[in-house]
Amino acid sequence: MQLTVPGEADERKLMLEQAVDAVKAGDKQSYEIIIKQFERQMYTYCFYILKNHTETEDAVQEIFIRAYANLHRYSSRTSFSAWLYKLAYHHLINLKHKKGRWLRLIEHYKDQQRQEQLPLPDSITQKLLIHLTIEERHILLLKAVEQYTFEEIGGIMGIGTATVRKKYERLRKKLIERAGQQGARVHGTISEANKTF
Amino acid sequence: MGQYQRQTKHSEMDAIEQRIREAAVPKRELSTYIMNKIGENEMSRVTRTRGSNAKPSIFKKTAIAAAVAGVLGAGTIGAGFVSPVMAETLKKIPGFGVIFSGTSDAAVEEAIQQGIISEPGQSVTHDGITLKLINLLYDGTRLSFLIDRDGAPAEAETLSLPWALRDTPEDQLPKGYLDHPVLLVNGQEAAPITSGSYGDYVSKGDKNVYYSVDWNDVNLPDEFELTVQAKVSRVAETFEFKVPVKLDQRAVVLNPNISKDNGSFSYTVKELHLSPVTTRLVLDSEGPVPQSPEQTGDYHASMVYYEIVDDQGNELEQVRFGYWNQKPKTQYQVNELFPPLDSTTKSITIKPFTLTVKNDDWSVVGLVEDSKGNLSAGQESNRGTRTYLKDLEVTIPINQ
Repeated sequence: MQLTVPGEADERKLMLEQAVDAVKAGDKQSYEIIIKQFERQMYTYCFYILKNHTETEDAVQEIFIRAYANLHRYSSRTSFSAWLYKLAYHHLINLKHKKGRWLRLIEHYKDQQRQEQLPLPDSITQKLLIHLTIEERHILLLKAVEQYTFEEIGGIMGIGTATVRKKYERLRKKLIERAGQQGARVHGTISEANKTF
Repeated sequence: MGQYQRQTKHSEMDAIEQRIREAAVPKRELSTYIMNKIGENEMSRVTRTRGSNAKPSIFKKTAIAAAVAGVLGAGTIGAGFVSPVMAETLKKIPGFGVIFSGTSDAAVEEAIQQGIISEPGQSVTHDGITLKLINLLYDGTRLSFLIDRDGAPAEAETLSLPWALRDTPEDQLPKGYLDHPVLLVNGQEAAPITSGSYGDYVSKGDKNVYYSVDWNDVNLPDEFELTVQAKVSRVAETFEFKVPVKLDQRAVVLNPNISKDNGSFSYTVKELHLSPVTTRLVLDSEGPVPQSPEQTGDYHASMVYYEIVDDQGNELEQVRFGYWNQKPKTQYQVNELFPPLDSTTKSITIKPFTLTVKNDDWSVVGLVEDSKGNLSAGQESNRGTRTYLKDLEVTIPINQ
């Protein structure tokens, strides 16, 4: 899914730029090519921020619709991918602001409960991410889902490259520490889960 | 896990990142849904969820069954005026009301004569589930067909995967949910389906579930082989139908390029497609939506919708009507299907209008909903109180 071969990445970039131009020229259907290129990664990014599949589906759709509506503002000076994720980042930040603290607390509790009752394949990661601040989570997710460089992440989040690097280093330490502590317990959860399925 | 703990710290980080990348997978492809929203031509109906999830979404969730009930109602009303001979013919077309919404008996008769509608009647059975491609309509501007399903267990009551089950792994789902089909034209994958909907129809006293699709914006030849591939939950094999499609007369495409401007808002009618069963209106609009005094304060004006009135005063409503939980944009590309015009029509008038939307919950003034937030059948023509933009009306001559 991830394109790591340089030639392939260039090809993808070119294809995306062509699709963007086509959409701008009025070929609406080409937008589907763009969505298909990003929907899965975008889903992952939103899911680990919102922690809820319904909201994630809504958010992913809203992000792509907004990107479509604002496509005329995009210029190829930046990569389309980074432009799209910048829009996504701001959308997610706005969603979180709107939800308010109280609701978040309830949902957090509900999430915890659900995870304990029904361990999901990604629950280990979910549990780990709980220990990160929202900003750290964005950095980690952007690095993970699209394998962005610190510079690109900085561009998306509107902070300096050095700051991103420093924050990443901090979150890395946090995670490794937690992963070590949780190792045994998480392992136990999986065994139990295996029994019930 | 032991192996995991022996890894270096950096590769541990790589492992975490990889797990993130691979973990949260959407249950279904969202691209089709998003394209539908962008096309604004989905049968959007209100099913608002209140309570903890009451976040206003950019668009309202769809409750297609309710909308379809209304379409069926319209079909039945139309059938009341049908001659006895025609009534016999119509009865033989399964799902008539769905595929021919707003279409007169004369139009259907013409459509049958022109080869626009065919009844392939093909069925494919895999693993106890039978899908049947019962009819197909292609007039050069839209392609619609109806699939029905038989043999599914009672727990898969609906044809589509219910919203609540969308995260359930396939092996834990009941058998029989139909996914959006893939279409091939002469063996090549064609543009994705722009709008598909699931619903029920009643034939021979039984309730059947169906999938109907309207496929827009495609440049298809007059003659081709259409392949419909459908996946059904917990059935390994793909259901495949191959249908030859041959059209004697394509829809007529007019390019009026007529604009109307009120100083701030303007629109240009780019295309008008006319066939015995379809009218398609394609137009571009630009500028902020005009607001009436009632559409200020707690309310705002919706996007601009367009009604078509023919020279006999018959009003045509767009077939699919979308409500958006979003303040209107300043640019739109409208591409909507309407019922067909009579072949004697000399001109049409386009009457733009807006709905009045409450800011805080996106409710539409004048729209009657039941307790579940769905429109009840028979309310379809209502669609909310309209504010007509009289200064933006335009009459277009039709030279067929």
